[in-house]
Amino acid sequence: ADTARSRMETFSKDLKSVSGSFTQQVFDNANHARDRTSGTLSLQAPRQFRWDTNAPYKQLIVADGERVWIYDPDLEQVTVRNLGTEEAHSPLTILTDLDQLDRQYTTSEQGEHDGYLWLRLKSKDKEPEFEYADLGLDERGLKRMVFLDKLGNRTEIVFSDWQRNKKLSADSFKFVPPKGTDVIGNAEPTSEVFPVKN
Amino acid sequence: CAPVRLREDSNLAQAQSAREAALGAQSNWTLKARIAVSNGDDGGSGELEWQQHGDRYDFTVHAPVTGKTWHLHGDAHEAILEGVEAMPLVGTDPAELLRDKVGWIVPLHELTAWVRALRAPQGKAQISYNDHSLPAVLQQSGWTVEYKEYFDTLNPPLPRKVFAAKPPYRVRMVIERWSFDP
Repeated sequence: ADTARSRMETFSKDLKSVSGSFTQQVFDNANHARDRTSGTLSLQAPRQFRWDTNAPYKQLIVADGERVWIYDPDLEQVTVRNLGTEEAHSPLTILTDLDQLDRQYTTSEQGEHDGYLWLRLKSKDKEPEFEYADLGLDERGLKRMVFLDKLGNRTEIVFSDWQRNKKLSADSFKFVPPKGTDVIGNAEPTSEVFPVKN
Repeated sequence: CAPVRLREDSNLAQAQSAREAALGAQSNWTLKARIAVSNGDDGGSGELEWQQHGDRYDFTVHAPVTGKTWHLHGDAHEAILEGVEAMPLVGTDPAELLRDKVGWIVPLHELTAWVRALRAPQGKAQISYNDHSLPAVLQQSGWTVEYKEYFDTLNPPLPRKVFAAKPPYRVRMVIERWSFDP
C-alpha cells in the first residue's frame, strides 16, 4: 500500500548519501512567522550531516560522525558537542540510517494533506527535544519536515533538488575551526568510537 | 581598523551624551540578532529576539539544530523563564535565572544599555571612540564591550556587531535588525 512509511522506506533504501537544498521557516506559538533561512544540506551514513545556512546569515552545522560543530562566522565562534547529545538527534539523520528510525521513534501515519502523505515521528527519549516531527512525502520522497517544540514553536522545512548517492568530497563532513575562531564546548573526540564507515 | 581615539575629550563626550539622551528616551525597541555566549569552555548560540518596553523585557532564544526555544520575560520586579524545564521558572533577577537554569552568564541589565552603545546607569564607564565619534570600546562593571560595526543608516547610529567580554565570560551579538514601535 502507498503509505508515508512505504514512501519513506523507498526514499531511504540504499541511500548512502544525499544532498539537497532547504528553506526553513519558524513560527512562534502565536503562529507569527519568525526567522526564515535557506541553504544546502547533505547527509551520509551512518551519522554525518552538514547543514549550511547561507541566507540571511551564514551558519554551518557539521556532524562528523563523532561530534557536532555549530559554527557562526559572524560571531567568530564554534560550539562543539559530542554526537550523543541533543544536537545529534535531528530527525534528519534517519534518512541515511533507517534502522535508527524504529529504535529512536514511534511512527504513525497522519494521512494526506497539502499534496503529501505524512509520517509522524515521536521520539522515544525520556526528555525529547520536540513534541513530534512530521515528514511530508510525495512519490519521489521527502519534501517537507515540520517539527513542534515544547513551547509550541513550529519549524517548517522545505527540501528540494535531492541528489542521491552522489560522491561527496572527503571533507564535506569534517570541520576545522578557522584561525581566530573561539572553540566552545568539548573539543576532544568521545571515548566510545562510533564506526564512521561500515 | 580605524585609529581609535584613546582619550575621552569633551566634544566626544558631548556627542555621546546627546546620543544617550536621544536613545535613552526611546524605551520601546526590538532587536533581532544571533547571540553566542560562552564561559571559556562551554556555552551556546542561537537566534535572539529581544523586545524592550520601558522596563518590561522579552528575551527569546531559538537554538539551531535542536530547535529548542526558551523565553525569558518580566519587568523590574519579576523574571519568568519558560522552555527550559517543564514548568515556568520564576525569579526576581533575569540574569540570575539565566545563570542558574541555562548556565549562561549575560549581564542583561547593563546589556540593555550596552547593546545600544550607551553607558549603563550605574557605575563609572570609560569609552574610547571610533572616528565617527561613536563608541568603539566601552568598559564598565568589569566588562569590555567592543562595537565592531554600526548601522550608520540609523539616526542615531546603532550597533550591528557587539562583542562583550569579562574573562572568562563572553557575550557576542550580531544584530540583524533594530525596530522601534511608537
